[in-house]
Amino acid sequence: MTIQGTPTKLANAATPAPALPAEWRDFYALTKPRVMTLVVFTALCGLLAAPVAIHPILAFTAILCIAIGAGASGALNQYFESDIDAMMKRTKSRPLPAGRMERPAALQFGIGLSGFSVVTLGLATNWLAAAILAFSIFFYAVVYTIWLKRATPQNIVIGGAAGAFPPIIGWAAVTGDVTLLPILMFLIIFLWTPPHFWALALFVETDYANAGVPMMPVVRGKRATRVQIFWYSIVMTVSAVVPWALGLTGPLYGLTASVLSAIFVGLSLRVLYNSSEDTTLMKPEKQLFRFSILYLFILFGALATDRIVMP
Amino acid sequence: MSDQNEATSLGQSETEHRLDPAPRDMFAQHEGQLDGFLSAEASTAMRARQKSRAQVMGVLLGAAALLFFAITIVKTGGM
Repeated sequence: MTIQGTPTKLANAATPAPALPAEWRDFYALTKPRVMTLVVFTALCGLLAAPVAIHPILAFTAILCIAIGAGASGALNQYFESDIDAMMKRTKSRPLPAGRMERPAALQFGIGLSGFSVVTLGLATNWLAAAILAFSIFFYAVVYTIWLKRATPQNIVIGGAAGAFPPIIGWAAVTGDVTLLPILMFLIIFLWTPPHFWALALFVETDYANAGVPMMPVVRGKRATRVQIFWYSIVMTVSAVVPWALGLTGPLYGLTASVLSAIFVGLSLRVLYNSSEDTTLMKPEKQLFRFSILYLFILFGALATDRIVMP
Repeated sequence: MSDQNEATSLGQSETEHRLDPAPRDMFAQHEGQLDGFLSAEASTAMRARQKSRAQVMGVLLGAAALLFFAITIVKTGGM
C-alpha cells in the first residue's frame, strides 16, 4: 500500500510539464522496441509451427498486430510505472520520467494501439487470436504492472505469462484453435522468464531496491534467488524437451533443445554456486542473462524450422 | 495539523509567486512562453516538431490504408 501510494506522488512532483509536444521518437520509445523483437520472433515461430499455411499478407498482418499489441502493452506499462522508472538508472531516461512527454499522451497512445491491434487482428485472421491478444495486453498492463509488480516478489513468475502468449496468438491466427504444441511453447517462455529476469535483477538489485520494487533478490535475498533460478532452469529444461518427447517435433529440435538446455542448466549451476554479494563479481549471472536471450531465439528457431522440414 | 501548515505555506508561496514578476520573466525566458504567446524561437521549434509528427502520422496512415486494402483483396479471394 505504501509502495503503491508513495511513488505516484513522487512522479507527479518529479515529472516536469514539457513545453513542446513529444517527438514521434518518444512515442516509438514507449513501445519498448527491444522487447518487441523477442515477441515478434516467438509469435512468428508459433505461426510457422502451425500445421496449415496462411496467406503471406495475413501472416504479415498477424505479426504486425502482435508487435503493435506488444508496443501498446509497453506504452501502458510505462504510463503506470513512470514513478518507479524515474528512480532507476536503467529507465530514468525514458520519455515520461525524463519529462519529454505528458502522461495522458502515453495513455491515449497505449489504448489507441491496443484497440487498433486487436480489431485489425480479428478482422484479418480470427477473433480467437484477437481475444488472446487483448487478454495478453490486459494481463501485462493491469495484472502484472498494476497488481503484481509492486505487490509480490513472485511478480515475474505470474507476469511472465504475458510475454508467453505471442506463440499461442501466432498459432491461433493460422489455425483458429489452440492445441498442445502452442501451449508447450507458452510453458517454455513462462518457465524461462523467472531465471532470465532474476539473473538480471541480481546484478541490478540496487536499482530495484531504490524504486521499492519487491524483486526476489530485494525481498528474499541473493541466495534464495539463486536457488530459485536453478530450480526454474531444471523445470524449464524438462518442458523444453517435452515437444520432442511427445513426437510433436523431430530430432533437429530434440537435439537443439537438449544441448541448449544442458548449457542453460550448467550456467544456472554456476549461478547457484556463486556466493558473491558484489555486483561486479556476478559474471555467472551476467552470462546466464545473456545466454538466456540466445537460448530462446535458437530454441524457437529450431522448433519452427523442425516443424517446416518435418515430413 | 501538519497538512494545514503545509497548505498555508503552499498558499503563501503561490501568492508570492504571483506578486513577484521575476519568476514569470524567468519562466518566459526558460520556456519561451509568456501569457499564452510563444516566442519566435519556441514557435519555430514547436512547428518543426508538429511537422515531423504529422509527416510520420501521414506515412503510417498511408501504410494502414494500403494494408487494409491488401487484407480486403485477400479476404474477398482476389489474391
